[in-house]
Amino acid sequence: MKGIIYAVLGGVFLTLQSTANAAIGDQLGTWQAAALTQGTGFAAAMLIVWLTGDRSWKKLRQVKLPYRFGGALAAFIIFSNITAFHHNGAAVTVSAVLIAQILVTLGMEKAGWFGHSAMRLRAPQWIGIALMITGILCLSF
Amino acid sequence: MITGILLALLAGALVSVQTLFNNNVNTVLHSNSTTALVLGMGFIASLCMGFLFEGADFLSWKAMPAWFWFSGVLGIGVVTCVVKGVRLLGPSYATTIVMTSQLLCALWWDSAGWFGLEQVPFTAQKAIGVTALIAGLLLFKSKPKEMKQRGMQHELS
Repeated sequence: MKGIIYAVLGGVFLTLQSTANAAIGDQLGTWQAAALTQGTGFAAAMLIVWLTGDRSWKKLRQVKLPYRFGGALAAFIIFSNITAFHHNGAAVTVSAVLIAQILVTLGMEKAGWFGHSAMRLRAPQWIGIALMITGILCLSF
Repeated sequence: MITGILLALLAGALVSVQTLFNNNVNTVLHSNSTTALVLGMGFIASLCMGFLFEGADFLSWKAMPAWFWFSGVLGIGVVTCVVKGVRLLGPSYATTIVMTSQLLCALWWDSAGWFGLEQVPFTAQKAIGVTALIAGLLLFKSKPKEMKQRGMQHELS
């Protein structure tokens, strides 16, 4: 149940963030908006780390090198997203991003990349995903 | 058209890769440190892209409303909630819920015209979309009965 609440809140924050980013980007420019939101977020996150006494960052060396740069992917995500947006507009871009995300995540979990045992998908799961993709397309266009 | 679609698909795939990477960071670091690392890396990468595409112009900032300075809090919410959701539910199930919540919020705020968004009418097509989305989510998480009895919770999570 706790996980579901986090996931729902994650979605709320994501939509708030993209709404805010669009407004900030209009006024300052895309990269300024990206740097501002992530820079202030970083500063506030550091403050939270300090206030909560989280010392786990000392173990950063134990994290494999490529994983430490996961956050930097945001810049490439933003770049691809904006370029796609200029080519095709919102509907095609938003739905393609979401569909790719859902299928790639599913593929990676099925392959066991997330550390759990490989996931087995049955008919209800495939139909569920197909229905969700239909929903994404109906809502985007 | 094709280039744009390929780039959008790439963006979506990269979001999944980022989820995987963040999840791996979180196996060693606590979630607060994970969030700080992810946002710090995103900040540095965005600075680099800004200078790469705009050169010195990148630094010419216009005056801006005070709330812009607090926009980063939303990023903390996103990273913390998604990382925790993925850890508790598994990536696919968490992603499907995050996406459903995201789309429903967007639809709700668009229909209400909140946050200065242009009001978009709620149509029959959107109602079908919402129904398909939620039905798909419920079906995705549905488990065969025998699985539940044996308590195999890792089938999906």
